[in-house]
Amino acid sequence: MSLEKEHQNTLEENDEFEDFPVDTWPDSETIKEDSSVQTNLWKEDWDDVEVDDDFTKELRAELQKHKQ
Amino acid sequence: MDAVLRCFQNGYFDFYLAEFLRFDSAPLGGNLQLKSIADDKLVQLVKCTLDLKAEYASHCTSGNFSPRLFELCNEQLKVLNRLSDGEAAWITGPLWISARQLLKISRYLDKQQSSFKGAHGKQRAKQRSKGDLEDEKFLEKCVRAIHTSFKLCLNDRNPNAQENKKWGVYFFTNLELAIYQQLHNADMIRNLVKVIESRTTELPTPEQALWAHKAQLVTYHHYMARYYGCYEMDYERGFVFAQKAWLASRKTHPGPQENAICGLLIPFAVLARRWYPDLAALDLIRPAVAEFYRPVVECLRNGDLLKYETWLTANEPTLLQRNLYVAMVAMRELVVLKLVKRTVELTGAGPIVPLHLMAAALVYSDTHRGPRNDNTSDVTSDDPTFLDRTECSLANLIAKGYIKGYLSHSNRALVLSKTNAFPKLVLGDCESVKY
Repeated sequence: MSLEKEHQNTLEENDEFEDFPVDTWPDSETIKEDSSVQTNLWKEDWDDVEVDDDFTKELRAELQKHKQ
Repeated sequence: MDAVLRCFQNGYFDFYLAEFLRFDSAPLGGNLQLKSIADDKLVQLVKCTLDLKAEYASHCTSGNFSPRLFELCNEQLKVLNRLSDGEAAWITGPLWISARQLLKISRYLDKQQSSFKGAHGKQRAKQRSKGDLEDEKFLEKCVRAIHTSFKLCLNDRNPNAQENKKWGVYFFTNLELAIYQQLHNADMIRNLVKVIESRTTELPTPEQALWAHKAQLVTYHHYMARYYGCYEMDYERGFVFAQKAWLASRKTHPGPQENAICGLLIPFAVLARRWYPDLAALDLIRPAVAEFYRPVVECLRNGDLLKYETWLTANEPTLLQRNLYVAMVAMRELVVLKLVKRTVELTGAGPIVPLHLMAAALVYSDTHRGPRNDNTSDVTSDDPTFLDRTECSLANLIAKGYIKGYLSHSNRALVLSKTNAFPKLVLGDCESVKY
């Protein structure tokens, strides 16, 4: 499926869960068997993550004004 | 046709019977003497199915389905239900074929009817239920016959476990859940799940019953995830089911089904485990989902409330349609928590944080404008009303155990515990979870 086609299948379509085009597939074709997806998909650093994006820089500047 | 009759005589389901039942396949060759069939119900099935095929061939080949096709297909399933009494597990195959095609026709006719109503305003459709002036949808009619199939399977008392029709329960559960979902009937979804839950000790597990039908297994787990996460707000169970559906889904050739599963999995993972997706990794496998949740992940990481609210507002119709709005509103609290934590770090205020700093951070995050620079509003970070609102937000976070500390109202300060003021919320190890 092309990227363009994939983007058409967004969550904004109707909420009907379509039937799969095939009835089954081998275990080897499941995500469970792809360790790289499992290993890389999730991040569990939410408690500690410190971003330094534009929002954070502006928040820091704003807080400095109020500290004075 | 002899092959079809042999299936009923000897109790097995094969390709010929499947082809015979389908409305869109040609009648099987060979002569059939109906008089030679002793079972009246089987005669009815043959007649009804031949009528069904004839109706399709004469009125529906251009891609349209007629209400008559629905009636015949509904009749086919009803006759099959009657035939099923006393039959073993093999009959669940024919029942499922018939039920699926009935659902397909019902969906088509309901869509056609709703577009017809939309186009003709006040003109009412002719189809009405008996004794009721309200229009009845084809889906509502079809689910009655499908529910009979479900009950036949669920209540089968055949002592031979291998021959028991309980093996077919999940096929009809999926069909019913699909219908109730489309009808937005949460009560019926809840009732059905409660029935399944109350009978788990008698039923094979979904994994046992659907091992040869991964599409059905994934569909079942998807609906259960949706039920627990979207209707019961039990995000942990919602996550467990969504994760099962996700892990069994296809890694290659993904379609809208995989996007829908991933669309549930991400909010439930955040709410239940505080795991969030790596957007670069997600973009490689489900770019549409990565794009949809990108702003959410960014807000969870930096505490930007305005961006989160903007995203919520822009996607409100989609989220409501998918019953995810409540989950996404619940997630806002985590964005506030992240903002509080970042504010404590950025101010370096130590364990006693003046409330006006927290108020300033909340105003800035909410509006992207500093309270004192906001000429259109009289809100300031030391406005007593706003300080009270800030205290309220912080009190909620403290009460839920997200922050260890207390509020000093007289000093207008947040007093944090000197150790572990923000307890870790991430649960489990995302790399080791495989079901």
